[in-house]
Amino acid sequence: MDVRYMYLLVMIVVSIPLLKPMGLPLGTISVETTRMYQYIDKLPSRSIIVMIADQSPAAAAECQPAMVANIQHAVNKGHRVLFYASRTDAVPFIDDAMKVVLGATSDHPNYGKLYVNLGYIPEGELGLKGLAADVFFTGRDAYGKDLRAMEFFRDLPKKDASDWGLIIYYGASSVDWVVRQITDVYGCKTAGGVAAVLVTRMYPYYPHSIIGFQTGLRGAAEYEVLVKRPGEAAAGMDAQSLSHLAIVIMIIVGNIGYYASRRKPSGGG
Amino acid sequence: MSLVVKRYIPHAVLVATAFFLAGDTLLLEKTYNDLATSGVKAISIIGSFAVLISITMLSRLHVRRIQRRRTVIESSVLLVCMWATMIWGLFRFAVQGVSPLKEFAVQQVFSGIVSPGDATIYSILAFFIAAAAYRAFRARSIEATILLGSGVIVMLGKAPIGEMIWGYFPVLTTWLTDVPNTAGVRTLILSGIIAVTALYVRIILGYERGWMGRGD
Repeated sequence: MDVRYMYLLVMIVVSIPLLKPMGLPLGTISVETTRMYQYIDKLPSRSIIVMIADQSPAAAAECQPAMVANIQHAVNKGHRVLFYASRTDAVPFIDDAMKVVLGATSDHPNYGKLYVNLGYIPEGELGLKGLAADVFFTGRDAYGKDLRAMEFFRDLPKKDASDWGLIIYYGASSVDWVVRQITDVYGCKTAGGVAAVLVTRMYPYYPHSIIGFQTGLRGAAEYEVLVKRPGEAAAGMDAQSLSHLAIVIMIIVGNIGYYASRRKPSGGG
Repeated sequence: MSLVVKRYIPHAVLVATAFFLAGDTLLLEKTYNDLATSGVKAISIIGSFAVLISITMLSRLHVRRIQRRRTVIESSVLLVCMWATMIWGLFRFAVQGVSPLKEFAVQQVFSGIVSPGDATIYSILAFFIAAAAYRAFRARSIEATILLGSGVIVMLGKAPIGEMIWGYFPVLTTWLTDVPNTAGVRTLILSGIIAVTALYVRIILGYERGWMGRGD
């Protein structure tokens, strides 16, 4: 069969639910997402949640709705949120998420008190190690404001990662370095709003170091339901369901065709 | 340049830095830990300058391609035009104090060109995977059948429609991810850690010299 028919089928299967939502039920919320929700819910008020934006524009489709839902949860519970980006192309996504939930970024009245955006910290794991050792590692935030003048950091006893309540990683590369530098050294637990391809690497650390995570778009949709803020992830569930079903059907049809062709007698007399 | 400068001094710097930062993880002495944090800051700043070097080399390559009019130059022209965005953003930040996050032109280039372009390239994978799954995913052996079955179960278990078709898809998916997947990934992670540790020991002992460049 011409491969273009398959491309056409996938395009139809993905675009129709996006244009005309079918309203398929989300189903049972996964244990991993529930545990993450409950952990954030039970943190004492004004706990610090660090959010690492490591999503490229490619992974943002899965990770960005998760980030928005988590920020909404933190806002609802009165937690403090410290953002930073570990890659240059993730920096604007922090601003986008803040604008979606808070309506503003550095000009929000609680910026500097409940929310701080540190911007890009280079060198990945080394940058996180530096931030974990000294919360004033960057000196200034993403907008050039002095961190030491901010109310956000005033009551922190040790000014390092042991003051943090939770660290959440958003991205598609790996989460090992976060567990290595934060959970193993300072005891602060890790969570994730990760692309589905990374989820298999989360399970060895779950549930002791990684207390919970959101698995791709489905996990983000589940979290949106839990915080009662349906958004992009919930809207994409119909398309995901149909596209998965279409691929499974194509695999089954392909195998049936393969075995049928093997049983045909070869050649004539 | 003598061998001392090209080989022995870089090696000595590497060994000293490695042991110094390793000591930071093991020792709890405030002065030492503060010094190590300063060292980490210095390395971060050096890493930022490495980005400058990569921009320079990339730009040089593409300017040469434009000058020689080799094959496709449209992408080279586009890359060089991106300089304008970078220079404008630097000017606005350094001279006028406007953060790149607030600079309209820079944000529009990112949200209008870079972000949708990157997302589109990734999205094309969906079509390739669907076509490849139809044409190549065959249950030719026991191992392939197990892989095929696991893939179908996990795909349907993770999508909401799977639970509508059969209520046990999510249960089987959970078992697959919790048990065999975790076992396999733990093996991979452990073997990766051992390999990386062995590599670092070889670098510290001086057996691996590729990072120094050509020393002759």
